[in-house]
Amino acid sequence: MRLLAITLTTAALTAMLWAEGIPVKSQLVQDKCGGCHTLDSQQRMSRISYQRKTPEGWEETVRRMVQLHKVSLTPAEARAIVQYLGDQQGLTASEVDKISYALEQRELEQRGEEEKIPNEAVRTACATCHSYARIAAQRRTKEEWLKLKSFLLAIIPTIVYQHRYMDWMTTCDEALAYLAQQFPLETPEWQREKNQTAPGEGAWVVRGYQAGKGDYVGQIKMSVAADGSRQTQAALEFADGTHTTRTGTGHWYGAASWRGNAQWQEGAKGREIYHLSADGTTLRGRWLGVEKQGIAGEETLYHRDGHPRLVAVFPKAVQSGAKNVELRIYGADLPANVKPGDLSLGDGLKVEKITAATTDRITVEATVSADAKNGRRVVQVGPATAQDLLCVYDKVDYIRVLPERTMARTGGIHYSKQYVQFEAHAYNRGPDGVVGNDDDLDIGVVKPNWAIEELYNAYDDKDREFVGSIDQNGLFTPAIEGPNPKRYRSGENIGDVYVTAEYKPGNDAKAMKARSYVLVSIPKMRDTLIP
Amino acid sequence: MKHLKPLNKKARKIEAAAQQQADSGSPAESKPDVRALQAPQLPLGCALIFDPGWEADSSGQMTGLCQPMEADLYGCYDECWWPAQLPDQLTSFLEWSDKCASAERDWRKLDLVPTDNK
Repeated sequence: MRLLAITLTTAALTAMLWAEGIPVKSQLVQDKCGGCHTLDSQQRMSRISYQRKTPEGWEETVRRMVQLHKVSLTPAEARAIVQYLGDQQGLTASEVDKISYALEQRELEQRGEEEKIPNEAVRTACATCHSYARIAAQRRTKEEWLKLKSFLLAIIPTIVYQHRYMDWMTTCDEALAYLAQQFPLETPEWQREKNQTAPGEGAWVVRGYQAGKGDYVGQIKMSVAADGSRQTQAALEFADGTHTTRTGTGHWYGAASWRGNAQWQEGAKGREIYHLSADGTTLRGRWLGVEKQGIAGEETLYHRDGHPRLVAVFPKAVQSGAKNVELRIYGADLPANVKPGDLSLGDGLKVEKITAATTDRITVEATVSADAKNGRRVVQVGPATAQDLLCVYDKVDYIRVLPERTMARTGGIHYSKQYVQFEAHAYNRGPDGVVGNDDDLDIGVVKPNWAIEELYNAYDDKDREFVGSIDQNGLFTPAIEGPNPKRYRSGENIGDVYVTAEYKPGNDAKAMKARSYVLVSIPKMRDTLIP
Repeated sequence: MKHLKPLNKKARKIEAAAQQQADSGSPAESKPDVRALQAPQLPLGCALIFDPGWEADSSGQMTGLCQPMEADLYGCYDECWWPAQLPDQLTSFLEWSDKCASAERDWRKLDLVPTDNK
């Protein structure tokens, strides 16, 4: 009787597992992958139909099939396969939101926090070699999760030996059981969002930030090309008033993942990795500089849907007591023929006159009362309001160097240098009057004197002399890679140092100092798309 | 501490450095100087299991790294250490070192893998 029950349960489970699986309808995938992956009567292919991944995840899979299993693919075929699987078997907006930091290559240490890993077995058996995000960027059936152990043992035969301080075989089972339960192929998010479609033709308003150049805003037009890819045209304006343009092409993978290549008017190129919010209104992400690794920008694009919206005010901080300050207010679909009475800049600020106004950009002259309190202001234009676009401060209380801790990589001969663009931000103590807490106000970037300072953690290592240099715009350029005969035991040009900024708010003022910790390390020799 | 006076040059330097930090007024600056005693902040994916990791050692710094790394590179390549940071010779990248008999001399010939055309 017990045997019968077990047999029935197994049969029921098998039937449940079998009921899952995403049909592969692409003839190209069937032809190119069908040599090894069998196709069943419902067009499900073994292994492939039971996994969902990011475009980067699928690209790594295709690379591995070429590398190890000698699949013969032209670059165009490889791209088409990644496009199909990324479209049909990707992560939805809500799913990708939790791991987008890894895809966008945000070094966690820049934010001063470590990756949060919810399960101890996963931390010790998996995240010892790669990030947790690499795993959490996948959805698989239970059967597929359990196959990972054999896969890892085959592809990294030394894995048990490398984890010899622990019982990797058992811990791996625990980790996979957790992952199977946490990240199944079918999820509520998938059910809810899998039929969403990617945005087509449309207009977006963008708010961006590039370290070293500052805040910018602009308009982006996205159009659909004959092959289904998208073309973008951007007209951008920096906070300092300079204008530029950018053109690009890109692809949506599924409804939520945008991957683009853009070129700025000045020639610089960037790779865009953006993700759409589940409600389809906001596209957020980073572009990564192609020529100079480490140069990057943050962008948020708001879909223009006729709904009035405010996106930026430049300058974003005004000093109390200032008279006739020019403020530029940017948005989308703001009311036409706006009058001073339609505008509010918050307590202590008065709009004297409107000097220019369109539905996207309003220029005003404002006066800030001498007793205006330090703090953020709610800006209102007609029906549109925004909380964090403008603040009032009385003086600069301190400066910070951002990023506060970060990493660079040597390079320049055979590998790419990884640069760091440092910035010194001026801060005000904020409404509570206490320096150094969350309500402090970022007033903007100042121009300090930059220097590299030794961090005394190893006797006489003289890292400062070897690791690289910093220019007066805060750009840290690491030294070349490879052994250096001038260093002790021909060591590399690596090390950890402080980057320091010294700034005088006025001629007679006391200098303010701040610093950042930078680890200058060796190149990575393997290009993994997800760390 | 106020009764202690620095006696030599080194002690005076330490006192001056402490004073400089206290004077700067920046919250970031007024924290203690000793990073080594703080929890290490490692790059995402830095594999500490191999102690040291590829980019940093277990203290989050670099004093524990093999230097120069080219001297022991094939030791890592042959046995598939740091598989996420370095090609491995066991399964995936069998020909990576073909052009380079001595890593310490010919390291410039070692390519980033996989290259874009793959």
